[in-house]
Amino acid sequence: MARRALMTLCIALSGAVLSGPARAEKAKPAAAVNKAEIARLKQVLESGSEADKLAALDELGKLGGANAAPAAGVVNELLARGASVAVLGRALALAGKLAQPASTAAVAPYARHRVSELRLAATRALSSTGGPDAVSALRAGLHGDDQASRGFAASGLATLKAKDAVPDLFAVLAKDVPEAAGAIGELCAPADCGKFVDQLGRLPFDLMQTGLAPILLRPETEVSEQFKLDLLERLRKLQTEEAHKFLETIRSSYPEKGNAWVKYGLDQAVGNKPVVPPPGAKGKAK
Amino acid sequence: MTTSTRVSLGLGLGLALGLAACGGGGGVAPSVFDPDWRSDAGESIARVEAKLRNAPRPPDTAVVVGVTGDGVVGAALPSGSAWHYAGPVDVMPSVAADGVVFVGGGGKVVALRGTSGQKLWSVDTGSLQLRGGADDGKLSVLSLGTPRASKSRLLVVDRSGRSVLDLSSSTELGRPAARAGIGFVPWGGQYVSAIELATGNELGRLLTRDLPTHALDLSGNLYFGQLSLVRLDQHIKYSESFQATRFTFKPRELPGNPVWLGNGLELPAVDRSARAKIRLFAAPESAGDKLTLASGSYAGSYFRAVYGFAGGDGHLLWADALTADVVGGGPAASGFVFCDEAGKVHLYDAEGGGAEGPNLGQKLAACTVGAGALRVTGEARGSLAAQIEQSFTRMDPDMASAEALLIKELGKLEDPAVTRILISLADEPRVPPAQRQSARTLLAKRKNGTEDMLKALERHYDFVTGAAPPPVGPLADALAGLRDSRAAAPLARHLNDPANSMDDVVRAAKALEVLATSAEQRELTTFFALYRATADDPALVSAVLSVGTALLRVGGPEGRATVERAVADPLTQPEVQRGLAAVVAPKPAPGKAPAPAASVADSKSPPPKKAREE
Repeated sequence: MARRALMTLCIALSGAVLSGPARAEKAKPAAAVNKAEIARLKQVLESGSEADKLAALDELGKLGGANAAPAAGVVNELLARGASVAVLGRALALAGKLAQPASTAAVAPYARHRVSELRLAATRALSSTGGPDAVSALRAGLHGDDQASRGFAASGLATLKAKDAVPDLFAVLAKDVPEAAGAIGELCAPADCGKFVDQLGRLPFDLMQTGLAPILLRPETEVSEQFKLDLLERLRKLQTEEAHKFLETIRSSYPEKGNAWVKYGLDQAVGNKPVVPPPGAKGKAK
Repeated sequence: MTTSTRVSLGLGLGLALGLAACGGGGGVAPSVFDPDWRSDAGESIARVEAKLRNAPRPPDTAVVVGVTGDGVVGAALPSGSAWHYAGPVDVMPSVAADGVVFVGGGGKVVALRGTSGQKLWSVDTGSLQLRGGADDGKLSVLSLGTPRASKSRLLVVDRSGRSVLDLSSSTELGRPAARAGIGFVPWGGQYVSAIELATGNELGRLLTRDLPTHALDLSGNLYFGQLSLVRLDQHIKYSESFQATRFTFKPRELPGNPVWLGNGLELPAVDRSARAKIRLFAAPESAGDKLTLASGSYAGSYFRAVYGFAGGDGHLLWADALTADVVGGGPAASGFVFCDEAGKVHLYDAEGGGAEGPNLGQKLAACTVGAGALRVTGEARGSLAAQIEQSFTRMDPDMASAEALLIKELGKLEDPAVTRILISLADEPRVPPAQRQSARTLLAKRKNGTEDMLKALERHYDFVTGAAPPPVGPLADALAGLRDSRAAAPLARHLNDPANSMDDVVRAAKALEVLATSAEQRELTTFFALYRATADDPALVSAVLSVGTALLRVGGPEGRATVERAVADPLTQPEVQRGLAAVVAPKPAPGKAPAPAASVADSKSPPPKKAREE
């Protein structure tokens, strides 16, 4: 669990520091829809051998821009008909890559397939295809009996900014789904963030830190400066080595142009000094 | 022992001869317990029976006595106050019909009044231990013995504690009875000697082939035997030819194989092992010339479980589970008495209605019940199904044998509530797997309780709430058997729930062959798409073929097209493909060939194997 939690923290940090939540590959500059090629590939996917179908899926994946929607349509039809595990696995990956909301209905049933490999592929794809049905399917995935799927579902809900799913994420948080912590950290409204932070000392720190990192790195329009400063003071007061290491990690990865008071708070906390700005000092550091 | 009339075997010979010479009733053998005695064809025991026929006897008193760490506790039944006697206890206390309690230990036997614990007397017994005691209201008869030796002694004590008779024997003596100055002592595996207690004279001897090791005084009647009993009545003369009034008791097989009376020649050690918690209780009841089973039933215990069975066919009449293990009990004239190791006494009437007995207030190692004339009146405890359900809440996994029995009996009941109970037992983690499987098997055969079945099917596995999946397969079997199409929708949803076992999915698919409607087409099509080419398990192949069959029946042209496409697709799993091809093939013209199998899943699929959980 600790290892999973650490990986989740790294992912959370990289996601927050870079350019926001991971998204599906953006379409390349628009190109005309290649109807003939798509029709040909559709024919192969309907009646070809397994090798032919795998090749056809690869070719569909190379079609970008305006071809993404019709290509996704062909993939959706394949998923609705069914195929071998190998073909379905590649089709689900492609559906995720094409990131078309219209694919969600075709992908979602595979999130409950009895073959684990397909369940996971579908759950990953749903976080790219998006839409309300994807959120519903991922929330259902949190309630399912597959641990790996629950983890992917939690991460996917964060990716889809599914703020309504926060209660579900809290429900699985203490049940060995460390990814839920990261998702809560990315999605929580102020009250939920407070509720999450209150778990400090109750849940293992390596689990908590995966949610604390995004809270500290989210814009102040979502999580207030004061909340972050209070959180930093709470972390400092823990006086544990793991909390100190976490603070150092956050300080080193905190954006140069980030909030000055949060940076100040990080410095104070790392230096084991009270994170309390002197009276009237608020705003000066900016 | 203040004074005594010591009569050794040798002396007994002289006394018997003397009494015979004086015409004092006629001894039957040159000495008491003489194995060389020649049968008198029942004459002597018939004389004894005639003499006792209208003899006075003290009133019966029902008593329970428990063995504690420092002595015994007891109370009158059904609701007396508990009393306590501190002293050594080497063997199980013995309770006479009139409520006198004999406690043996530390080289002594102490007699107590069972209603109050008042000490009546105490006698030294040396190295001999109490095998059993009896009382006629004036004199007490003690059968004494030693472990692993046949040496025995019969002691008769009056109310002042004076020993009035002391007979030694080189053979083992059984558990005695006493009536109007005559003691009945089983011995030698075939004899019961009727001994005049004041003199030691053997007035009569019963020869019976019923292995007499016990003499029992129950509701005013005397019985002798072990595996079966003969009654002392006007037919006793014919005992040798098996024409005495006889009581034979053959219980059904019960968990732990408890025995009824056991060998009365053995010393009744205080058994602290598990065996003492697995017991069987029954008593004869006189009904004119015939003997029947008292209460019409017999009862058993298995740790905390207690249950009653009909005397005729042995079916379960009532059941309960106590809060602590049973450590003893006994039959009443009507009903049964159990005591648990926490010191509580539990009474059940003949129908299993419950009544609270005395609380002995101390932890018990064992207990003895003398309740041959007690008629218990209890309060009804609901239906048998409800009693079994309640019992399961108090049972531990180590009571699996009793649970197996109760589940089996549950399945025989027509009560619709049984369905709900079987559903809950089928996925109850506290119930051992084998018993859960039994519950599933019985559930599949239910013919009522459909509302509970449908309600159960609404439940799905939920990681967050901890809800387990219902027993989908058995419910599917039962609802398909009942042709209840309301089950189609929930069963179709279960098809696509990977938390269900493969066995459950196969049986849900099979049920949908007959139950599905067009409203389930979407779920059927989804399942078909997901598995028609990925089925890597014979059971899953079978499920896909069932769903294909259902699609052909309810899916209209679209459903047929889906199945036909699958037949044509080289990626369709080969066995699925062959099975579907058979079912979509045009039917032969009428009269040309026999109709194909009703279900392709029936004809083509291999038997389901154990569910594979990814």
